Parts: sequence; C-alpha cells; structure tokens
Amino acid sequence: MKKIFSFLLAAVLALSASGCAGKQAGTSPARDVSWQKVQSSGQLVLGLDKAFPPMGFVDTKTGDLVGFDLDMAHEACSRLKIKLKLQPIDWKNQTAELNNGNVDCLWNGLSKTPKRAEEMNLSIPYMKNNQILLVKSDSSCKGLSSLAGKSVGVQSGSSAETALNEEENADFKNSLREVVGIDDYSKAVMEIQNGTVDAIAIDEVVARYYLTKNPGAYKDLQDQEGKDVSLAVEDYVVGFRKNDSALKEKIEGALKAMAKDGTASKISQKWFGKDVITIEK
Amino acid sequence: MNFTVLISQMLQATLMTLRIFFITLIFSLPLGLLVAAGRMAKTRAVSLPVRFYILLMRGTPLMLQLLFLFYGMKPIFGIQPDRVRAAEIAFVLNYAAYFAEIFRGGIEGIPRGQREAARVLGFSRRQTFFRIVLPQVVKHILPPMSNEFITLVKDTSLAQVIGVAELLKITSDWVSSAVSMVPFAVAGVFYLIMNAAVTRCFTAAEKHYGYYR
Repeated sequence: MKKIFSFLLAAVLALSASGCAGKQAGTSPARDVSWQKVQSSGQLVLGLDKAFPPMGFVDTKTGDLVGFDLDMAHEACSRLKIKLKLQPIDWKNQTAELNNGNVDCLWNGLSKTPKRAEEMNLSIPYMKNNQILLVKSDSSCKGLSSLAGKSVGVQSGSSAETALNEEENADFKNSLREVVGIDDYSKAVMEIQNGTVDAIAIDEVVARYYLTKNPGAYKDLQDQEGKDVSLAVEDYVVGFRKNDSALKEKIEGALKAMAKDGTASKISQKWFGKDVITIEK
Repeated sequence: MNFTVLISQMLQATLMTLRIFFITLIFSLPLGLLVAAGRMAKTRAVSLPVRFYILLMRGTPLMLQLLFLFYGMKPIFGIQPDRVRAAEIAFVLNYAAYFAEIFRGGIEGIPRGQREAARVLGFSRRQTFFRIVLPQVVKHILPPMSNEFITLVKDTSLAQVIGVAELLKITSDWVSSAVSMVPFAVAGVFYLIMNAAVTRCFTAAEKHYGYYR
C-alpha cells in the first residue's frame, strides 16, 4: 500500500512540475506573429461543427461542405491571398481546439457571449442572431411561461445553453422540468418530433433551415401576440485565440471591405433571401 | 439526397475506420502479450505498475482517454499529437490492457500438470511455452478475442470526439443536413459487413483449432 501511494505521489508531482514549466514558457511576452504565421503557411484553418445548417453543413447533393459562414470565409481568405482549410471539430471542444492551435479560428455561427469574450479574441459582429424555441406543430404552448414543467433541449456547448443559464432566464430555467444537452440540432429536432423533449432552444437561422426542410413538423414558439419568443438576441462573431489580434484584425479588414462593396450582402441574399449583415462599415 | 456521393464518402470514412482497426491490432496484440508477461511477473516492482496500468486503461472510459490524449497533452506537456495519431495511441494503450488479461487468463488456464509433464519429458522452458502452452492458449482465447475484435470495430466511432473523420460521424453529418435517418441504416449495414467478416475469420480459426472435435 505504501509503495503504491508513493508511486502515485511521485507521478502526480512529476505531472504538476511539468505543467508549471509549460505555463511559464507560455506567459513570456512575445510579438503578435499570428498573421505572419498564417500568411507564411498560406492557409487559415477554420474550425466548424459541420452539422450546423445553414452556416456550415454537408450539401446532400454534392457532398461538399457549404454554408453562409463558409462562403464569407472563402471570400475573406481570397482577398487576403490565403487558402481556407476547413477542420470539422466536435463543438463541445471548441475552446480546446482553438487554444491548442488545431484551428486558427472558430467561424460557425459563433455567438458572442461574455464567457467566450473572456476565453477568446472575438471579432466585430457580422450578423444578428436570435435564440428561439421550437415546439411540435400541434403544440398549444404560447409564451415562455407555458413551458413550465416541460423539458427543453439545447445543443451541448451552444450559446443557447449559455443563454438558458443566464441570470435573466433563471426563473424560466427553474420552472422547467429538465434541460437536456443534445449532440447536434438534427437530433434535437428529431427529439421534438418523437416527443422526448417538449421544446428546443435553437439559433433562429438553424431553425429556419429545418422549418423549410420539414414543414409542418414543428413550429417556433410564439407569445400571445404572435411574436417569436426570444431567449436572447446575440451577435455572430468570429473567434480567435486571445493573443492573435493581428490575425483577427486582418480578417476584420476583409469583412469590412466585403460589407463596403456589397459582396457580403450578396452572400447574405443567397442564403437568407435578405441582407442580414451587421458589419460596421 | 445524392446516394452516390453519400456512399462514396461513407466508403472513404470506412477506410479511416479500418485504419484505426488494423493499426490498433498490430500494436496492441504484441503490447498485450508484454503486459500479460509483466502482470504475471514474480517481482512486485514489475507487476504492480503493470496492474495499475491495466486498471487505468480498463477503469476509465475510452472516450475520456481519447479526449485526454488529444486535448490534454498540449496544456500539460506542451506536445500536440495529430488527431489520428492520438486516436491510434489511445486505442492501442486501451486494447493492450484488455488483451493482456485475456492472454493471462488463457495462459494461467493451462493445468500445471502439463508443464510438469513437459519438464519430465525433457522440454526446456522455452519449448514448453511455444510448443505445448501457446497453441492451447490460442485455441482457448478465440471466443473472448472475437468479442474484443468486434468491439474494436464499433469502438472506432468514438474517435469522432476528437474530430476524426470516421464512418459514424460522416453519416451523422449527412443525417443533419438531410433530416432523414436513412444514412444511419446504411452505416449499420457497413458495420455489419465488417463484423461479419471478423466473425467469419474467427469461425475459420476455431475450426482450424478444433482438431479434437
């Protein structure tokens, strides 16, 4: 017993010692070479959840990865004369993927939240988003209060999950029977159809995609006046590592140029049928 | 839904699944034998760490090991393994522990009388192991090994948590876009075909070793 304990102790000490060494090396001040690194490698690695239509998803006709965010990223990269490399990731692990350097940015309907603003370097907003609720089409629920005692699903790691945990929604959250964390939205909409959850909190853009694909299967929860219930209004931004300001500014520059000459608006029309760009010009 | 494109992408992803499967077997089988030897060693300085390793690998979820090996290495040790490499290492370390216990069960299951008889007949320790013990061990461990091989084929789908483009994740993304469950059914068939092949191999092996039947 003593031998096992001392072995474990030695292992833990060794691990923590090497952990400390790693941290010290990382905090030494360095020039911001983020843009130079990307420029010399010739590519920007974009991390996305490729089950997030219409921002980034699989086109079932061609098998290609397509989406509004991908079109914007492609355009921005071609203006900066670099290639775009798409790296599908598990959205739950977005921060680790970014901070470990596996991807250079997160550009996939990434909503601006205070927590993300702390952990990452967020760009200027490019689009507004609404966190709405979807319910079964024959549901008689109207307004947030009608969901009391019911179960609500969210995508794990999403800002819908964060919104639910916010102060202002605390009463709503406490009134629910349970909050279910689901892998991705296609499973979440299936849960509504099967009745295993009563409602899901979902990004409006994704909801519109599923509503057009599957008309009549579900509907957006509305309040007494017929307006969509909104859990939170958010900005979509692009996420970078905390120290990568140079890279962020380059991408922002491209986005602003795209907004100025109308390219961004064209891409928006293609995907949403209207101009939803909010990039400050 | 363009089925031709779906099937071709699923076939490509199956290559990744098969890659993980074969790499894991190639490395974890010999490693498992080594670990089994260490587990059965008389000196506690060897057997205790080995027992801890087996406990760690079998006692924590493979998914956790995958996540740790891919996301935990950079912050703790400063090294970032490539996705597929991290998956291969996690699978090899994990399955070696399970194989080690199966090997040990098989080897310890050979009655002591056989070894004594071999000694009396003049066999050396090495001859006894390779000519008398090992062939019987192989025969006895075929059923539990078939379990592990089949489980391995299915466990490859866990690699998706670190972003490896294996069969189930590709299928899942199509389901997301198509809002249809059909790709899942197709993936089911793919896995069935792979495991039917594995089962076939083991049935043939058991027949080969069934010389007393």
